[in-house]
Amino acid sequence: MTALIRMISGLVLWSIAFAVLYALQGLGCARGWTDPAVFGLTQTKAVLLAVWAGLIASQVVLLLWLMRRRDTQMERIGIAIGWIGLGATVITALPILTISTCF
Amino acid sequence: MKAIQLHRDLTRIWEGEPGWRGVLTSVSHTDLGKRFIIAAAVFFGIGGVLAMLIRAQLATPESAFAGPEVYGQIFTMHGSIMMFLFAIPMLEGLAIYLLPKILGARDLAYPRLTALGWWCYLFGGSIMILALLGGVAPDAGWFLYPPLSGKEFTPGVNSDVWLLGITFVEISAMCAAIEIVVTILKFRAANMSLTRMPIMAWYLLATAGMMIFGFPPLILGSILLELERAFGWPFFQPELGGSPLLWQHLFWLFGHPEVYIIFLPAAGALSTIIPVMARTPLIGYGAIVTAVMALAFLSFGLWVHHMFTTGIPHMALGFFSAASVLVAIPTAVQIFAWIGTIWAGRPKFTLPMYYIVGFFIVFVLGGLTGVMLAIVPFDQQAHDTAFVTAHLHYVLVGGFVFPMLAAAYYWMPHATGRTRVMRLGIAAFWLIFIGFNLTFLHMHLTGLLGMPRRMYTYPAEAGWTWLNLISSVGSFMQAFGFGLFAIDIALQRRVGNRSRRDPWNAETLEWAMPTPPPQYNFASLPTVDCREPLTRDRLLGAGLAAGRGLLGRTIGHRRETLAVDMVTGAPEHVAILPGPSIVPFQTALVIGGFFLSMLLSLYWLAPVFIFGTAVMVWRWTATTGTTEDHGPVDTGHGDRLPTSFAVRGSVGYWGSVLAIAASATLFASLVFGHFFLWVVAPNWPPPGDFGAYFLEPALVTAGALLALAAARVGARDFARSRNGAMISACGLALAIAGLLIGAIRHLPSPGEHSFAAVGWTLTSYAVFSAIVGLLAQVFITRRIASGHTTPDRPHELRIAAVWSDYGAAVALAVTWILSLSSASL
Repeated sequence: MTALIRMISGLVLWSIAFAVLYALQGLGCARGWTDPAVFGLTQTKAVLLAVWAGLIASQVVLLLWLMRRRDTQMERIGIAIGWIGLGATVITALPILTISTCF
Repeated sequence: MKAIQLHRDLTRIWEGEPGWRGVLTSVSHTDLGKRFIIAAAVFFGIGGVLAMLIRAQLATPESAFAGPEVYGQIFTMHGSIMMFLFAIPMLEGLAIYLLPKILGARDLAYPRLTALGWWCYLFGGSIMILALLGGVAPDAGWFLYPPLSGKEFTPGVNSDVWLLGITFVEISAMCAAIEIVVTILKFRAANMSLTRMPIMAWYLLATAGMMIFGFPPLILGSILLELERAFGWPFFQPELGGSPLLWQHLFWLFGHPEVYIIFLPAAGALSTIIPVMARTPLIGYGAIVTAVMALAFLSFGLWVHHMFTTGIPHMALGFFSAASVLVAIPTAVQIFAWIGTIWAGRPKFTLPMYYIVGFFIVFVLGGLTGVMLAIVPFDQQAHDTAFVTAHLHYVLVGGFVFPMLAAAYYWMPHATGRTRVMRLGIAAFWLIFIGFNLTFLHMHLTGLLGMPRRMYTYPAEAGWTWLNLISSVGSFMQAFGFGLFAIDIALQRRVGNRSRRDPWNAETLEWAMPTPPPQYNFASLPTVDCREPLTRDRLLGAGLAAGRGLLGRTIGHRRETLAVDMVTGAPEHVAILPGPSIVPFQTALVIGGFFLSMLLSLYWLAPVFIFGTAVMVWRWTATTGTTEDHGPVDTGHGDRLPTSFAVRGSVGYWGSVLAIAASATLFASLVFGHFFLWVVAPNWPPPGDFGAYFLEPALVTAGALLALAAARVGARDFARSRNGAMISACGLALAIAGLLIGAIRHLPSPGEHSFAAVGWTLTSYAVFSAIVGLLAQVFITRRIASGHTTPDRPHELRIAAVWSDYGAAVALAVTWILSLSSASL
């Protein structure tokens, strides 16, 4: 079971990242956290950027950990899924950089 | 002679009871799988007739064929039947029939659960069809959006039929999902590691995993909407702090993964059939497994693309738009792997290949329009138009129906032992393929010209007349095609010539058994060392039939199959499976009584059936297990393995873990609903005085911690396990008391505001979970006393502990969520 969980861990982490970012965005907008905070960014966007960066870093750490073992096919699939998780975390949250937060 | 005797003995052990009683008590995965498939096909026929009625109505403008009320029932039932009574049960039937056979096992992990699922499906589906015949079918669209589906705008039982009938059917889906996952992980051939599994098993593993996490939000949504309709709890009423958007979130949290839940098993069939037809191994096994896993996860990040026009902030739309586009990549990986396999091989253009080519054309078109709809500005233009109707039919008919038709022709010789008799199948294909495209290709244009979905008529001056007429003509052509297909299959079943074993020269283990298959599948069980065992050894089937595999002997009336290590496939123990039983049928009847009492507004009767269901489950579990020590048994090659009664990681334990995972998903969805309404819904905070309270949470915490600790002590030391179970049950009773006192003292009446409604629902769920845990611990004390659970047969201890742990954890979570929420208001 551990090997199976290890194999899909990259996408499990993406699921968490996606849920956290969507929840933070919804919470920030609903609570009206739209005042400029740092570098002209709103509070919500600043938090989203910081959390997103942290989640990307987590995906990178996970990927490096997965890449330490590549003996079996499941481990190699796990590495590929780790890359997918990292790519998906970057791509699905790109709107943070390009779109206004609450409109 | 020895082989013939072995087959006679196995037939005696595995055959069902005779006559009508046998119909009610059957637990055979082969029989039940076929029943699912046939029933799903019948429902497909009913849904198809409804589709014809839709097209008859829309063929001309201002049609007097059906009025808006009747038309509402027709299109709602068409969608609901096709999604819930055809597609999901068809994939369940395929999995139930096929899975043990392709894995080299004799049965599924829980034969009686399979039977329960079948009866729930049949009864729930029948309720829906009877409502249709009675003119009180659901009529608010297959996704039943409130407020249209609420009491104000649908005062009759129409929406209740959907909510209760579909939830009844979903019990079947949850049973099947748990069954499939545990069977794949535990009941495989010896040495069949996960990466040696047939590719179909990976698809079914991903599908069943998605069902475990995808269906609970819909079940929760249905419960909440039924509570609102029956008792006035305002989850979806903005004036009382609810929100209709909560329904949309819960529905589509299920609804979008549902598309992939339907597609993936069909894709699994394609990945199985294409290499056989192309006469070459599948290209990119590892890449396909990776893509399937990516689809299984990414498809949960798309649900809001059904809600692009609801006013959600653009950044959030961007998240879901990006995920919706991203999901095309793993889909494309599979498409290219299949094309590559055909390219690399020497394809035979047999009948299944016709449907495979049809799949490529139709599904790729549907995928491309899917990418178009994933782009927010385009979706906002095309939303709720006939363009979306065309897109979803290209995806679902292309991605499910065409592969299933290919699968039907591919596996029919297996199920019947017969070959096709005429060339009707070719004519059927062309009628279906041309008719389908004639119906739906230009429906994209109809939508782009502005025709909305679900409208019962349209004016002549709208300019949609000729487009609709062509669609209607095409749809009837399609119907003739499906009729011919049905005749072709019936003829093959009745008068087809005897087929030789493995007529396709296939690679997978289902062809290493006699066809049609005996109830026990294999006289002895295979050991595999590669992904294509039949390619490696064409005489494998004969060797297994001669009893040269594992478990090629019988012991009394025991139904045995091999359980293996989840990852490596190393033999772990011998699973002993239950035989025919009337209990699943009776349990489904009692559950049906609950749903009918709710449907008929006999709410006072519903608790009787809930109690009855608990009694049936108790009776069910009480008939399992043994009071005898079997000791390790010979597997046939000198190896000895323990039986399933003597191991800790039995399939019962893993089934419990998965059932709890599904339940936890429902709980998480409810917690999401609580915070969603709090943050997003209007008319918050609720009126009244709220404040911090800690006495009841302290009581619940004490009880829950006691339950957790006592269960730990009992699990570590068998001598203290009975006392541990009793103390654990007492702890849970304390937690239940704390939950109820807390709710009564601090929550307003549930009809006053959505906060109170959700609070009472959370409390009810926590009390229910704690009662289940309490009953599990009481049950284990009885089992220790009766000698079923001993130091040598400890597996039930672990199962009871996992249920009571969950009950305690939920009680803890709910009491503190409510307490802290109350303090924050």
